[in-house]
Amino acid sequence: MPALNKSKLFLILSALMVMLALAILLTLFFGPAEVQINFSLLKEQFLALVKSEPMSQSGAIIFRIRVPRALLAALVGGGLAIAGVGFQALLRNPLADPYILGVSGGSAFFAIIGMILAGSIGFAPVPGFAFAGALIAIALVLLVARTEGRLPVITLLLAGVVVNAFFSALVMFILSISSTRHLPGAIYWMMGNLSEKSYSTLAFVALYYAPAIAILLSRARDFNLLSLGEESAEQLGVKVEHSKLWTFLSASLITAVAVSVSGLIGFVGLMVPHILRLIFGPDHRLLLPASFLFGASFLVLCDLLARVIIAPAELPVGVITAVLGGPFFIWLLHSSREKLGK
Amino acid sequence: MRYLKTISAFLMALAFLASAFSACSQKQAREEVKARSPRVVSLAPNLTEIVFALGMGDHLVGVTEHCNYPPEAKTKPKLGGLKNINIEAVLAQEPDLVLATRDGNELELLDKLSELGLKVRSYQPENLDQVLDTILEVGIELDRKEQAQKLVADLEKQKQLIEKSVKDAPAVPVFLFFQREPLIAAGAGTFANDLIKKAGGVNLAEDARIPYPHYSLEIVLEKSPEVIIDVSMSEFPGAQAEAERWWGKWRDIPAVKNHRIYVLNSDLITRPGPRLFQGLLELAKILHPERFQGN
Repeated sequence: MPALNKSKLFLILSALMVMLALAILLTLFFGPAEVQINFSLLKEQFLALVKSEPMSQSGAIIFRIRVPRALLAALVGGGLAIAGVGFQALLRNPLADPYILGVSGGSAFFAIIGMILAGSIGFAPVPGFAFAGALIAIALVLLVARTEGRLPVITLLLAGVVVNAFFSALVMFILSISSTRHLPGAIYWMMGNLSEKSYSTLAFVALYYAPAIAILLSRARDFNLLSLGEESAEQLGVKVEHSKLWTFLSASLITAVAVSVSGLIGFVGLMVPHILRLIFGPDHRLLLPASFLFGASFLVLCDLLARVIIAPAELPVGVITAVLGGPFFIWLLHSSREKLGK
Repeated sequence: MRYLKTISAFLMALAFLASAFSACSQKQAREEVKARSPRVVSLAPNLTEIVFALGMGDHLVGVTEHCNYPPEAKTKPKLGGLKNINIEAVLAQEPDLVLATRDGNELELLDKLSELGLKVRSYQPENLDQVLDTILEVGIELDRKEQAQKLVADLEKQKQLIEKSVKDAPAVPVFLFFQREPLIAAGAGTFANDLIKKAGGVNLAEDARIPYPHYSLEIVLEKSPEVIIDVSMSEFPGAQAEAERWWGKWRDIPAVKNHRIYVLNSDLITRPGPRLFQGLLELAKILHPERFQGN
């Protein structure tokens, strides 16, 4: 593995941060509604927001719709990408994505129950239900996969697939017996959707993210050694079981939070890590933070497209991520192969 | 030997004739029973409502799980949902007439039922006038032509009265939605869109050109609806407060500022049956309360 010097790391990460900032800035100026924007108006409206005073229409659209939504897109995109790196390292499987270990099925099932309850008894917060469902699925997988204090990769994978299949079957069951008016919402949810969330929801997301991301970042060295195989990593001083358990828990928690506020957004968690591996190489000390920043920018831009392409209607952002990301990835794979060939 | 053969052939022919004759008379008897009391199966909630409205509810021997109106409909045998009708349950009811919808039910199932010799009639009304046609057609099938004509005339009159009441009133911008998260609105091509126009309103989400679009919240803010109609919840005591709470943070929308947020039962504006006209009245009252004082 080529040495990673600090200045290169710093340079790449700063560039990605600038990219993210630009992406977020872009979404403030573009959207389906027309807004008046100039610097003094932005400042005045921002102060109104802080003091929770009445705002102008443009101010409300920018600061209470676009800003929280762009930040949410960044958190969800970054979270899914870094969780993807974690799962790929943990399972040593390039096909692993954040949904592979049961989180998607569990959260989808409970989210749809929440939607139906919201229609019949009123207040049943869908994000809360989805989050609870994800946690239940994680607990089930852990319960099934853990044998004699160890977490063998094969049983973990199988447990995840089984739990997912079980909950997916329940989702199909519920959808087949539920009234048709719940169907559009459920389908949109499963395609992945970023809608308007309050700043307090953002705070909730950030609160759960912080420790989980810190744990993943601190495991970068373990991940590098784990790619040599569990035994070799053990001999090189990695507490393999300890590392695997914490990786599973933190990556799952990030995924659970992301899913609870945005539904099932595909592609980001699977492909962003691979894209960055192709560009920057496999060193996790760079791969982990870079994936977060790149995943964040990617989803912010995809969401911008989702909001404007068929305005005033919105597309599910999961459609955009796959349609844009797929061809881009193939192009990248092709060109990197050519480079290697030369 | 030869004799024997001829005689037995003759006897067999006689027996065959006799049995054919008795089968024929049995069939005749069955048909007489049918004419007296047809057994009807309805595979959609709107058709169930039409059958009841024509006074033929007693003849319904099977409905779907979604048939919840009138309350008696809930006591009828359930044959499945809209898309997953249990074909054996339908056959077990030995219906003389199966009423279905082309869009809602599975075409394969309807074909299969016809193939098995059942009389299947399917309807797909797309607007208010076609709903009236459907009522007439169902009435003819059920031999209740006069009742159907009377019902249609009443509904037509009610519609004209409402349209007349709101005719010269300024059209009110409305935002009507089926689900809150994500925000699914009533787009072009829905009954809700049609009803809003007839009730003297402008449906803000019509420009989405998709029947059930996930609608942009910032466009709702930009277009400033004067009335917001929430049909995402069934009727329960807290629904109104919940709808107001949810919109509360968008104080600048005129509908929120002026407390013109309403909760409506979605069945009244989505189900192409007689109650669509009740939905029209409710909408007109919401949009133009000043024109409906006293009733």
